[in-house]
Amino acid sequence: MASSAPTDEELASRAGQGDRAACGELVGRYAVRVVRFLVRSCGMTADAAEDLAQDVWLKVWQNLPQWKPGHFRGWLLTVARNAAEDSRKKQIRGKTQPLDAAHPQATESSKVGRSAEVQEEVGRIRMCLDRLATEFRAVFEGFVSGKTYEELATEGKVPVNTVKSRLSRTRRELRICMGVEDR
Amino acid sequence: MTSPVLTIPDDIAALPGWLDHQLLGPDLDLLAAELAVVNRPTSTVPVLADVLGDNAAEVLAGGLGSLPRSALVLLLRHPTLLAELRELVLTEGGPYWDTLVDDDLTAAGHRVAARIRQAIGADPPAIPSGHGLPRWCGYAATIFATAAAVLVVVYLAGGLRQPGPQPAEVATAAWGFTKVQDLPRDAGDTATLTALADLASEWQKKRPETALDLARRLIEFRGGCAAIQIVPLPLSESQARWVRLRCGDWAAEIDSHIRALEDGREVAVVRAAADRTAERIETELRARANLVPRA
Repeated sequence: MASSAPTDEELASRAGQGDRAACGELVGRYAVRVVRFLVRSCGMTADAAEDLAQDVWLKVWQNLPQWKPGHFRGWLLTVARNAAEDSRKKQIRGKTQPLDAAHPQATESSKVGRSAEVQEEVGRIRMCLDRLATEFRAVFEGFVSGKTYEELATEGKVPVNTVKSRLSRTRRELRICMGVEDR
Repeated sequence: MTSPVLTIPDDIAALPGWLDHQLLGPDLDLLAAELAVVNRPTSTVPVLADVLGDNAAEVLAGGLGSLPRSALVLLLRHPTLLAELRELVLTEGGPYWDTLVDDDLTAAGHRVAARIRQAIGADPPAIPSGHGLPRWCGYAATIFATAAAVLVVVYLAGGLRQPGPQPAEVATAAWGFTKVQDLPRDAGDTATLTALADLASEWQKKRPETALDLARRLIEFRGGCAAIQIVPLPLSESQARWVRLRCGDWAAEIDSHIRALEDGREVAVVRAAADRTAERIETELRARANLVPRA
């Protein structure tokens, strides 16, 4: 009879009692997820997340003996989020300690830089949309909002093929306008 | 930067899979901003739980393919929901969502796992490679690490088995962390961490002038890190884990200095970089000693 894999919570309990293999199994299950969480949810760079993830796991390993049985994954990601927040606060305070030098975080300036990039792109697409003829813009907006070709054809009182060709042309015009395709 | 809104698939059947990738991709913020420009969402935003409805569990298990088109349309028309949904997927999503992780994040996660397993003793020591600026060792560094470890083992074995004068080649490695086994066993965490900082500071005692001498000195330094990994440390378990984990990174830095010499970098430049590494190690250890809770 095949035995089922231990749950996260079973592994966490064993790890809390010093079972290194159990802790290793948890690390195997969640190492990628923690890095991804730090990058995608906490806005860190991949390198910074990789560094901070090590601290997160050490904190987890150190605190597992005090862990109260519950939802392990939620607890793990809370530890990760708090670590990211602590790191961000330290950076804002400008009190970078030598310990932090070993794992530089996503800088506030890099976040500001990303935000500026996004705003620039948004400004560009807004400008490009404004250049479109009304009927083309309507087709594109309808498509992006999830309408089908048939719905757009009915709304515009045109054949479906006209919708398709307008959409295709609109996309090309936008790509050219936004500099991702040559005329 | 590619405009994600221009990559929305023509085929409505492909929309859920496309949106799955966008949710965990690097440009979700841009997609949401673009959708807000194109769709001009109303101020009344539906609640995510309502949008997912009875399909929430299926979404978390297998992606947005289980959502009816009407729900997908709501997500596109109210892009603030996308960030909320991402958070939900990141925290509660099942294995399906793990298959959508970028290769670089997957690799980073695996490197973290290897280091942590080694640090906590869940795996035999392993030396993963493949980081852009390797924190652990590549091929050449493995050779150096092996050589360094041999030096350490020779020293440690000599210390254990042969009291009295040491052979000359062993004596050359008897500085820094290689003397870790000589530390008092019952000094306590603060004193031991401080003593380790003192050992790290011994790097400054010699100023090698030639590339070969500097390489030799660096190999000895690297060997000290091997000693930290090998011998029982007179520290509490949590402090010992921290030291061993940090030592992995310090070793990688030292390896990078050795490689720099191999690549023909100037001795003075490499020595200055190694000085900074040594200073940082020392500072980290002293800072850690100050953080030890007082009994």
